[in-house]
Amino acid sequence: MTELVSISDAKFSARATHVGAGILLELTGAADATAKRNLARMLGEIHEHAKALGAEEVRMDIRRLTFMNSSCFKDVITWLDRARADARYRITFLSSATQHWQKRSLHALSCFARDLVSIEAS
Amino acid sequence: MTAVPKGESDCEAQSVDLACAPELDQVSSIREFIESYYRLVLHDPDLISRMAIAAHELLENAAKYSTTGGSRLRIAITGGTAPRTVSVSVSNRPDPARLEELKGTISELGRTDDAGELYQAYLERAARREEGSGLGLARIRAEAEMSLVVEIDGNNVCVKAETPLQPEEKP
Repeated sequence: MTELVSISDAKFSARATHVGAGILLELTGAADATAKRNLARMLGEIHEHAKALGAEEVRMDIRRLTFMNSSCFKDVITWLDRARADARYRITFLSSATQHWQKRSLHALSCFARDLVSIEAS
Repeated sequence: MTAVPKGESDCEAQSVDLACAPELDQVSSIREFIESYYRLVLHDPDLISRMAIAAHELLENAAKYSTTGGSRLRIAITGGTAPRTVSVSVSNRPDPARLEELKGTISELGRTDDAGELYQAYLERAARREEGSGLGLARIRAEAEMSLVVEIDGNNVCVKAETPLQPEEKP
């Protein structure tokens, strides 16, 4: 397991690691206006890492993400759009049933990139 | 910032009125307060998450576009014995350009019967935008499943997100 990129703010942190044939991206805290400053850059870097490593899958673990605002959601959408265009890896979101906003937001994401995105709820 | 839970009736006791001038990075703290308070009185985590989405997005818009910096957030549960509603509204004084944009967006969101389909069009647009997401209000309409109304009084604007309170959601 190799760490690829990480960010850590007072209320938000993210860490991406290369695991097997894929990348695991774990988000924790609240992705809001403060997190926005780093999230777009990080997702761009993960896209480049995924292509360079020939990753088959990026697993985005948001089970400990308490909220995501629309600005950060837009960054995720932009990333999905790039991944959709390149079609080199699939994206799986690991979500928590107790974070009720996630079900609604992930439904929108899965409709946006139906062939790319899958969701695992726990 | 002042929090004024009112106590004249059951409905008013569950309402919150906040006068605030939040910076963008303070909006999450207000959302967390709203979530914590309504966990005590509504006992409906899904409804609370929808209210939180609306409060957060409306307050962020106010923080970005208010010309005075000041905003008023009001969460109200109204209706008495009639069908009850939950509303989340934010009042502020935006610049004129933002006001026109706001009216256009809310009008567009109000014209559709399929908020999810329109939201997908907004997502496609957002993916290619360089500045801003343009998603906040559409997210309230589609993800939080709340209707949106804009009320204008001179230079002041109030954006209200509203949803019926289902019988089983009665506190």
